[in-house]
This record gives sequence, structure tokens and C-alpha cells, in this order.
Amino acid sequence: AASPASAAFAVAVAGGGRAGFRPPPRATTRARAAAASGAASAYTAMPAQPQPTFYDLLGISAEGSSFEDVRAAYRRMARKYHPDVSPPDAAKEHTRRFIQVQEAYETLSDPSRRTTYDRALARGVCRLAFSPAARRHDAEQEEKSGWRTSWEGQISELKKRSTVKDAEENLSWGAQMRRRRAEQS
Amino acid sequence: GVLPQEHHFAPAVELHARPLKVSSEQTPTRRSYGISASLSEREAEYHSQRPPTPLLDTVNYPIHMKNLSLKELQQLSDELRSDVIFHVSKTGGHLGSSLGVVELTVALHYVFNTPQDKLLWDVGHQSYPHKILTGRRDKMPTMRQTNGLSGFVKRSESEYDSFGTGHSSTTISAALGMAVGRDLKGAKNNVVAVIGDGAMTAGQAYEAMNNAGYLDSDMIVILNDNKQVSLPTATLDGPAPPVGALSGALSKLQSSRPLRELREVAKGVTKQIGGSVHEIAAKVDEYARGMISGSGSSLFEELGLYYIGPVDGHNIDDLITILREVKGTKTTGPVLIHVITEKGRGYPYAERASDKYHGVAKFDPATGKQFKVPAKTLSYTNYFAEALIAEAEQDSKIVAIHAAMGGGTGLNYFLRRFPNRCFDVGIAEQHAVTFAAGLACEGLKPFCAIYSSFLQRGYDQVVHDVDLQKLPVRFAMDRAGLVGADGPTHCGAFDVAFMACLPNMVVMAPSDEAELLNMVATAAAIDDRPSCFRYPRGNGIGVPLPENYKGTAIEVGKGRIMIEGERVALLGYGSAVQYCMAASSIVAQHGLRVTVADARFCKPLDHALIRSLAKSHEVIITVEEGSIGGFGSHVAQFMALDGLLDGKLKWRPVVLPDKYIDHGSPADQLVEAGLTPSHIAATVFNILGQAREALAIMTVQNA
Repeated sequence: AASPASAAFAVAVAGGGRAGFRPPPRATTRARAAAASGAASAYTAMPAQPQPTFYDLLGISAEGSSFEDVRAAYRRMARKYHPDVSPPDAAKEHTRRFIQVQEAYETLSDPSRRTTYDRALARGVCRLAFSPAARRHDAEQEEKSGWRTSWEGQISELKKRSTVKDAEENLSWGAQMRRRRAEQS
Repeated sequence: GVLPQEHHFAPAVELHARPLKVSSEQTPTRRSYGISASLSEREAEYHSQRPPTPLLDTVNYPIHMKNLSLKELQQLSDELRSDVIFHVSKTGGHLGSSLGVVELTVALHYVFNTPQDKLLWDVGHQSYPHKILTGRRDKMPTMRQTNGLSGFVKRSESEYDSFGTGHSSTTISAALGMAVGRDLKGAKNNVVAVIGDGAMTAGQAYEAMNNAGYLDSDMIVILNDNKQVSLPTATLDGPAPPVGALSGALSKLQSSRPLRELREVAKGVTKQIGGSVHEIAAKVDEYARGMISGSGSSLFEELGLYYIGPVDGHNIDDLITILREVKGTKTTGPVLIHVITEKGRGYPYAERASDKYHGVAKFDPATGKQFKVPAKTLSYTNYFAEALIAEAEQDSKIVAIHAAMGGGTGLNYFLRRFPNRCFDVGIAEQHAVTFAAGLACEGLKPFCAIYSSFLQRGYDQVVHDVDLQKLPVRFAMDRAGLVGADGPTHCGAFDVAFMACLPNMVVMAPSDEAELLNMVATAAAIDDRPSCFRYPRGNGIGVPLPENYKGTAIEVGKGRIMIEGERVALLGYGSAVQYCMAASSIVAQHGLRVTVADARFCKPLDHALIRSLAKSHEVIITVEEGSIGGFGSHVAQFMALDGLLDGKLKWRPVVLPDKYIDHGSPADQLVEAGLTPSHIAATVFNILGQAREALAIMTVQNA
């Protein structure tokens, strides 16, 4: 799939995916993003230019494409853009594209990385140039800092619950044993 | 630019692993293109000599860790990781899973007070870091060897090993038992069970959680989620998506964004309104957790476990914080902490490998290359897979089922050839057996490839769902008999006993790989009743094989004579026939030529063969690599009922002894079991009253 303004997006995505900056989810990305976008209405305007995703780069659909589809698409694209077989004046451009295709394949062929990428896509965190170690690290760090917020909340909830857990109404076996132990000590 | 030249252009997939030729204007943003980008940030150097571990050297037991700072604990984790890699490179063993839990192990031993606090590892083979930290570091070079450390958790090895594991999915049950026992005794220690997402595909985990939620006893379950549900963690052609629907549910838990956002909004609202709205917001929070967090966490919550997560399992700070908080909270009931880790983490070769270096031979740490001993023959597992493929080529009704063991059973090859006819059900042997029974009802020909010891889990299903209804399910029991370094948890000692006592089951065992191919064909042909065959771990002996691995069905209930002799008949079953052949050579050196026969079938027995042997020999010795109650017992039963034992005939059984044989090299285990050819030869002479020859043979062996 030919992407518009191919020279521009390499620069444009450099800003995305860093911790702290989150472009809002696009309406056409995924159903999950659509569900979340309702709660995320506080965010500012969306980017004007649609940027291709790894799926666009390989020319496959985001949902339902299997590992075989990904690999076949990668082979097609790699053959097309490999610097050794590109005409001399397009070598530079093709090389850049080839590297992106390769990153796309590495990300989409590994199920766990693909899931992480899909989720990041859903949140609109990044579209392309996902896998250079630093940027992937950032995206993952951001996701993990999100985890931190959620388990901190869960822990405070646990503490709240524990204060009332062994009230007289709780008839579970464990509660009865705990009450008995508390009485004896 | 470069002119295109056809012969330079390698297939795209190979380019993945070679550096590209690029023009000089390109400035690489990474070290090298083409090599996979999943290098970890800290590319440590791995020496072939022992890596320096100054901090780890000061820690022999968990108590030595208690005063370390967070930074020191991180350093300790790094050193522990290199130590695990170094040791496994020297001994072989399980690597990937241990690397994934280094930080978790350090955090657990730091926060909890083992061994008073009970720590249970469901995945027994990820306990290498645990063993290093609990006083067994100096014994790591003996890992999986005779008289050395066990490759799994073992109660008799150390007080820090609370519960022996090897079959997966048992620790929540055991932990609940320990928690309830603690409550009954009035004690106060913690109980922590670490279980993997693969183990969560087994029903017993749910049985345990269901009971834990009901009893409400304080305990902690750590769900170590690395998305590796089956072994090896890849098919032959690439990473394998996890089987089953549960993995998807667990994945959804990791993206808790909608809930968090609702919470942020709710907090914002509460701040503006303030005061008593706080209680309402708390209620909303509670309902929201159930509705919005996704079906996964409410599954655990519905079962009565308090869910915390997801948590980054490689972040020691996070782990220690959470564990401390949970430990410090009184009356929690059962708590489930969902920890996300990466198998093989920290060793780039393992991270990149499709099987994550789950189980490795000795290897070179600097390059990750394993030292594989070249063998002339394939393993029995390979022969089985090839034979099944050959049968399935000609019969489209043949399907294969396994329980999360695509590599171990060889069915990954079958999967590649017939992607729609191979079923991996996850760690669920009970389901696999009944699932196969269902397939058989529809006229298909299911082959259930389950290790002998793992089939123990599905035994009632074999009896009730398959044998009782006489459904033609075929059981291919790999790892029958002693298995070497894996030890008694994986030893297939009992399958002859428990299969041959079933009224409708055909029970057979090949003595070499050609026989295995034939028995696969035989099983495929038996369509009116269930059948099974067992074969050991190891490689074939090197016999001529039919073309394309296509065996021929043999007549059911017919054995064969291998060597004609006199006076003593060695009647072997399965691979034990090879020991009998070797024993006959030893005996021949002392001037006696004994008969060796291959029974092939334990059920139905070859009555004619046994009668003829009984009539023409003074002694019959039955030999099998199985427990009492198996082949020998069936032969004795028949001979007794047939009146063959009423005369001068003597019968002696050679079976595995009435004890569990510890892990070690296969040769050592055979000696321990008394099943070596020398033992059999000595038995021959002992019965004949020739004690001197018997002693001579045993002395030569022990020399």
C-alpha cells in the first residue's frame, strides 16, 4: 500500500509514543478505541494526516489476518522494496520502506508483540515505527505505568475491604477461623 | 544503488537474519539491520567462565537478603540471572521459565519469611533461581544428575520446597490445604502459590479456586502470565498463538484502560462535588470493576479471589510493593496477583528463540548454541509422528490430540502437515480423552498422544468414557518406563498395569522403531475397540524401516520369537526385549543359549506362544519396564489358569522395583532398578542354581 507523504511520516511519528503525549484515538481504528473514546473526550483535536499502521504497510487487514497472511505479505513487500532489486534512484526511499516493512513483520508475527501493538493502536499511542528498541520501550513503559495506577487502586480497595471482612455477618469458614484465632490471642 | 541480480536475492525470510547491504548514506539507528529488534536493552556479556556475582555470593539463604536495598536487589536479580544461565549451560535443563521468574523469586524471598511462609511453585522446573537462593547454589552443577539436585521442586530435598510438583495445576489445591491446615492449627504464616497461565488451562486450578473462594482462607495466588500455554512455545514454523479462550480473557485484563478512565472521571466528579458523594463513588467503583474490567477479572472475583493486576513481573519495585501490601493486610481471604513476565527474559538468545529455550542441552552462553549429540537414529517420538503422518495420508479420518505437548509428542510435525486435524487442548488430559471419545463417536479415528505419566490424570475418562463404551480411541503413550533426568514425576511406570486391566483395551508395546511403525498401523486398523501402545524416551536402535515410515498392521495377539534357545525363555515386553537380547549375549558367553521372545501384546496375550514356551523350557522370565501388576502379572495369571504352573515350570518376573527411582542418567536408573542386561543374565543363572556365574556377571558389571 503506497502511503501518502512518505517522507513526512518518518518525522511525524518521532513525536508520538513518548510518555506524556497521547494523540487521541481515531474513529476508524478499532471498536475498543471507539468504546474508550467516549470517556476520553477531554482530549484535544485529532491529527490531520492519517498515518499508516503496520497493517497498512503490509497491505493486510488488522482483524483476522493470520500469521500466514502476515508472512506472505511480508515476503511480497520485502521483494518489492529490497534495496538490491530497487532501481538506483529509488534505493534510499525503498530502503527506508524495507526497514519499516521488516519492523512491521517482526511486530505482527510475534503474537505477544502484536497484541501489545494492537492495544497501543487502540489507544492511538502510535501507528508506525513501533519497534525500534527505544520507542517500543517507551510504549511499553507507558502501558506499564498504566498498570501501576490500576493495581494501586486495587490495593487500597483490598485494604478497605479487609477492615470489614470479618464482621459477624461473614459466615465463611475462613472468617470463622480468623475470629476464633483473634479471640484466642 | 545496486543493480538487481537474481542470485543475490535470498528469500525474504532469510533476510530477516542477515545484515543488509545498504548504501553509505544511510545512517543506521540501530546496531545492525536485519537482526531481530527484540534485543533487550541490557545486552549483558555472557562468559564461558563463571560470571562475577559479588552480591549473590553473600546470599546463601533468603535471610541474607533482608537488609538489601532496592538497588541491591536489582543487582542481585541480574547476578542471579547470569548464574542460572551459567549453570544451565553446563548441565542442561529448563532455562526459559526460570529466567522469566528471577525478579519474582527475589521479591518473594525478600518479602516473605520462607520456610515458615510456604512458597509453592506450580511450574516445578522454574525453581532454579529459588534453589540458588535457598542454600543449594553449590549443588547446581549436579542438577538433574544421579544423586544430584532434582530438576523440579522436591520436599525431601529442602525445607524450602513446600510441595513437589511436576504435573502442573496442583499448587492452588495444595496451597489451600496448607492454608486451611494453618488455620486449624491457629498459626499465622503466609501461603503463596505461583502458577502459570498454561497451568490455568487445567480444570484442577478452577476446582481449587472455587473451593478457595468458598472457604475464604487467607492465601495468595500469583498468576505468572507469560502467554506460553503449550510446549514448546511454538510450532515448527513460528510462534504459536496460545490455545484456548482463556488466554484471550487474560489478555483483556492487561488493557484496563476503560476502567481507569472511568475512575479518573469519577474521581474528578467526586472532587468537584465532595463530601458524602465519596461513598456513592466507591459503590460505583465496586460495580464498575465487575462490569467494565472485562470478563476476566470478574471470573476470578466470582470465584471469590480478590484480583490485583496486571503487574510488571520484571519490576522488582512494583513486586515488592504489592507483596508487602498484601502481606501486611490482615484478613484478605484468597488474593490473586496477576503478574506479567516474559519467558527467557534477559538472555537474548532465549528471548528470540521460538521455543524460548524451554528445555535445553548444554550450551555455550556466549553464542546460545546448544551442544546436541548427533545420533544415528531418530527418537521414538519422531518415528511415531512420521508413522502417524504416513497413516493419516492414506486415511482422512485419522486425527491427533495432545495436551499442550506439541513438541514432546512430536505432533507439531503432524500439525504442520495436517493443520486441521491436530488438536491441542491445553493442559487438560481429562478433557483430551473424553474429547477423543466424542470424535470416535462420529466415526473419526482419534490418536491421543499423552505421556504415560500424564495419562494418569485422565484415567477415569479412559475407563468410563472410552473403555466402558468400547470406543475406538488410540492411546500413544510416550515416555513409558524410566525417563532419566526428569525423574519420578515423569516416569511412566504404571501404564501397563492400568491399561491392561481394562476389559476392552488392546495393549501392545513395540520393541524397536520398526515395530512402532507397525503398531501405529495396527492401532489405526483396530476400529471396534480402544487400543494403546507404549514406547520409551530415547532413540531407535537402528533397524531397517519401511518406505516413508508406513508400517504394516500386525496380527493382534501374536508375538514373535527373536532367538531360539533352550532351558530358559526370556519373554520381554516393549523396549525390555532389547535388554533381553543383550542379556542373552552375556549368558551365551557362559555357554548357555536362551530363548528370547517378544510378546508384543499384553492384551490379548499370545496364548499359543506362552504355551509353547512353557512346554519346552524349565524357566520363563517375563521382563518389562513397568510396575508390578503389568505384563508379568497377566502372563502369570494366564499360565496359572491354564495349568502351566502345575508342573516343573518356574516363572520369575522382572519388573521395576516397588519404589520411586530418582532422577539420573538412564543407565544409572536401570542399575538402580535392577533392569540392566547384566541383572537379567544374573537372574537366569540364579534360577538355574548357578550362583557362581551369576556372581561373575554382576561383578563384571560393577567393576
